[in-house]
Amino acid sequence: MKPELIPYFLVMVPLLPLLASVINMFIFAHADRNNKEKIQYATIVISISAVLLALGAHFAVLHLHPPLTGEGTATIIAPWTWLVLNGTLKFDWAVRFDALTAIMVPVVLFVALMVQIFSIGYLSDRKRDYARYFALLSFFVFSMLTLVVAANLFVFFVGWEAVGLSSYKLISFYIEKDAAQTAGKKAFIMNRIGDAALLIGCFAIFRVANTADFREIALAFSKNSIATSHANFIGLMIFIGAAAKSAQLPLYTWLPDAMTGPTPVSALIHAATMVTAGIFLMLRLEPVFVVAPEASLVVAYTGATTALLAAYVAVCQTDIKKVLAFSTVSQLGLMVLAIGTGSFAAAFFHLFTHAFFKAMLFLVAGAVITYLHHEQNIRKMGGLARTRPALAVLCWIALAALAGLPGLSGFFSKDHILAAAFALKAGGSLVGTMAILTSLLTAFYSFRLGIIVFHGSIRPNGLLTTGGSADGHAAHEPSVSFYFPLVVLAIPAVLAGIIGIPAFFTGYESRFFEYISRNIPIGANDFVARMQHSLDHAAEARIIAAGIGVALTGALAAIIYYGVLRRRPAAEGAYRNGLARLSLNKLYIDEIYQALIVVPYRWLGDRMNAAEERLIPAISEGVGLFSQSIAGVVARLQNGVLSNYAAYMFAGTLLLVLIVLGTVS
Amino acid sequence: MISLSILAPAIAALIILLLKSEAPQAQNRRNAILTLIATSVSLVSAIIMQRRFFTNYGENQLRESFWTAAGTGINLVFSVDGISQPLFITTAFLFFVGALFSWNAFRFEQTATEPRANPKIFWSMFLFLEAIVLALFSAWNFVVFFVFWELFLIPIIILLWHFGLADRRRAALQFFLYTFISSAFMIAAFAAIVYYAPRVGVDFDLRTTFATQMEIIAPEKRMVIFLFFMAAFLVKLPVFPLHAWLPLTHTQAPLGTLLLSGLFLKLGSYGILRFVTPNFAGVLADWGNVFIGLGLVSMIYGALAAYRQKSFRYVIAYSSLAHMGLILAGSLSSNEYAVSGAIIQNVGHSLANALLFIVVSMHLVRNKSDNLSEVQPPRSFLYWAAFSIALFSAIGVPGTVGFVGEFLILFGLSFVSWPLTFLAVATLIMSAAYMLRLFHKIRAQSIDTSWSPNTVERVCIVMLIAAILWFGLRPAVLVESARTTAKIIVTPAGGNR
Repeated sequence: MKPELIPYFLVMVPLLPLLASVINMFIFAHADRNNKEKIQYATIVISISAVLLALGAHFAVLHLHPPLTGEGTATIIAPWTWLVLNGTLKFDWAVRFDALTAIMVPVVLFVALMVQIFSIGYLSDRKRDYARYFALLSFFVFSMLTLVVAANLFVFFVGWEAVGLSSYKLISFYIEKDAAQTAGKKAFIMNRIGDAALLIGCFAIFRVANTADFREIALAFSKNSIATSHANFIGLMIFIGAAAKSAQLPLYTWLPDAMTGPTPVSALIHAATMVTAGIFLMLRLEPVFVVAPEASLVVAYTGATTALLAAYVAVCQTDIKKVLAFSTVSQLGLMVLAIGTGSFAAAFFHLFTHAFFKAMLFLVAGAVITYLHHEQNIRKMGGLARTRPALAVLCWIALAALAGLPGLSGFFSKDHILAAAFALKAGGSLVGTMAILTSLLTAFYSFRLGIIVFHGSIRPNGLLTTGGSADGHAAHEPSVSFYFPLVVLAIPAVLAGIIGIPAFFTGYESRFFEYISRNIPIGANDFVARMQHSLDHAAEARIIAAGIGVALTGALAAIIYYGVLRRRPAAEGAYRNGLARLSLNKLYIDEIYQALIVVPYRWLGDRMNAAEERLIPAISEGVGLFSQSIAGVVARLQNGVLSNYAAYMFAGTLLLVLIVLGTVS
Repeated sequence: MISLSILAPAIAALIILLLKSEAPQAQNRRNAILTLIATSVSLVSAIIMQRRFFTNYGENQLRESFWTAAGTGINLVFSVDGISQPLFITTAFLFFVGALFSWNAFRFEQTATEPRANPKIFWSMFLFLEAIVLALFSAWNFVVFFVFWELFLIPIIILLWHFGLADRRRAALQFFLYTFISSAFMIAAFAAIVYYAPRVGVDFDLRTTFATQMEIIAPEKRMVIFLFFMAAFLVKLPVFPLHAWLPLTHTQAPLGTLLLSGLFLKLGSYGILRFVTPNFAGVLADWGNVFIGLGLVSMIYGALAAYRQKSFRYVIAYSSLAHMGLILAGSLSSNEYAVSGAIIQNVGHSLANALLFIVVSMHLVRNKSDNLSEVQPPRSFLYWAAFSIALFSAIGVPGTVGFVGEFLILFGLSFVSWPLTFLAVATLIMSAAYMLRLFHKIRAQSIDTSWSPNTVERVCIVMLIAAILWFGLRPAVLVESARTTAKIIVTPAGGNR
């Protein structure tokens, strides 16, 4: 293969899933029209092969491309122009290949592949929806890849909106469930707030940099020609956009609700990929944040607050998927915190490791939910390890990675973020303490989840006492399509940390960090020096020890409370403790929104309609009276003798023409 | 080519009127086929015009002059520029789709019990309407423009009066009253221009801009003339609080022409782009923000009202009000991007609106309710595809033509005023709210398996989806012509301030 083929492979990466999606849509339309009961297995093959081919194309590019040693070696391909506004401000359908895409594309495709395989089993009780499901899933993969490989803000925004759209469609995938429709709507509208802010940010970038291309933007911002106040404004707008997509305070409320969608969708979209789009956006626009220190601080503090509060909420949740959803919000908060402190590579590394273990956790949850006949409440679960030991082992691997137990992928990536947080000059000890507390709570709720679901006495009583085959379901339970993706995902969940081991342990910069920081458009070193103290060896050792310590403490506390003392999570409303109630009710943020925004908005809409019914007819009446008084002709016309219309009109027009002619002469 | 696309429907209309009556069914088929032929001739010649159109020229072109009355200034001249050509081709396209859909609607009506007026009238008025709207968008002489502006009322009132839905009489009267009074303001304004700036009146031919001649009019008089023009076009657009006729006509129009409702609103925005934006740069610099603000109030009001409607058609009607507010804001921004965005949005809103109305009309022609608590969607992929794409275009999702216009308008608006831009961008969220509510309400209803879109409806839907996606993915040809003209008309205003 020759290097000249790179452009073709590069373009194929997002287009193959799109092609698969379109073909699947036609298959679905055809089946729907003929009302066939036949199950569309072909769509599964098409979706999976598209992902495999895209992976192949990506690795072909990786193989052919000269080594990436800086922004200049990134490849940008613009085969097609969308719109030209002026000489430099033009929007191409352009894709690029650089360090971020080189890592992000395989992550997206790999998780998507695993999720698709898992979905075959998960949806086996509604096989008729295969066509629709896989069409949407392929469309999502296309959107996410578009966002990742975008070379300019326009293509990025297309991908950004498209992931929002496919997320909306997939959350409300269960058409018959009203809650799913409402959740989809909520997700889309909340994301739309972010889109609006991002759009404003884009406009501001176009105005100050007069370009949409990421490379040109980086150049414009690195020249120091842009006022700090402008950069701060742009940074804030971009951050609001990212906060909506990546579920940061106060815009995170859609993510827990999004869990009404199919569980594999939650694994792919609401844990591993789409929600990281906001992080990815900030990584892409890193040059903006480098010149916007105040905006960066807002980012850091919002991230830390989100991480801590979401972890706190996760502690008392009783829905298995909501626990994981809040855990995702919390981990995203940590990534945002890292970006705010200037440690972009650390944020990206955590994004990378988090994708594997969180996708895995959601898939485990999906398996548990399937085995327990769509039961999601962990209060009704228990002892699953006895009937599904393999699942328990896989779940514990993922939970340990999430909790940050030493040696697993989550440990290394979290350690980088803890170090960055403590090193922050403006309030590093505060932010660092919040991050440490987050780690503590993370370990606690992880172990709580594992112990309650997999250990203790078997629940629900009677369902699984005979080894799960009481009602003959066990025979039909999918095993290969469940266990294969879980086992494959377990490998990176355990090992992914190796490529990013902190220099503290090895004495040299790890490959991942070296690769990313070499290829970031603007070397963030000056910025890091401005934002962070340099930590000495002893301080680093203390931070690592503290990280290990809180992870073990949290785990131990959960083991004692739920394992040894055999406490069970209390039912809703049973809590006396205000703190626990606050956690269980998700800080009442939904209720606050309801009271402050939704209700007044509806009220205003009703007022408008009342006005429509009274005020507007009154205006028309007024116009009617006015016209009656100025011209009897009009009044005659109102008698409704329609045949006279033409004559009157013609006369009127003629009269007016004469008036005009009269004015000329 | 312009004259061909105008004359084809006009002649076909006359033929339909004059041909002897046959058995109703055969006659209806013959008329429908004649209409389809005439509209497709118009469409093909409009497409040929687009091929011959120099998108980077900007000024008027493809000029066709027929009759000149020396000294009077009444010249029968037709020509198009970047403002009118996109509307011209959209009109030809939508009338073709409308003809197909009307035929479909009549096929359903044959089984209905209530006898209606002679369908022959419908077809001829439909074709007259096309000829008039096309002539209106391509008229290059003020007198010709005004004649067609007034003539437009006749077929539309007849169509509404005889073939509209339940509340058609009231709709027709409201529409007539509002429009008739507003056009009086327009003629007065133009008379004043001719009086104070006589060089404009030498031949009454239009220019892309009269700005240099307008200079000699005293500023306060210019202001009054400006207000008169605005009074004329704001009613036609319409904006809050002059929109009382809009929900009525949008809901009571005949089923075949319902999908053209969005297009007819473009008369107002075309008038603003043609007469106000190029010629009142000075006034707009002082007072533009007030009217942009009015447009935004319209958007917010429309979005809020649409959020609580109980009928599908009313949601579309109020969403139109919101969209026209955005077009008004774009037109008055005196910025190249915003003005070209307004031109694109003229096309985008017409197409998306037409598709939404096709979706709702599919219920109505089958005598089914479009009440949101009763409407039952069919089990059909194409139905949902049409609904989704129309909705995405309406809320401006990239890839649809709706995004192109919205993006350009909002970006252009940011050159005028950031607070107004914030407000306008915030309405993106509101539009998502009411449109998704609509979608949700219909999704939540049980499926009606007794029907699915028939072949004619499928063809209409596919054509509109193709247009929406095509212009969304490849807007360059549309935007370039719009932008070169926009550049010319905002240059006196100082270009991008």
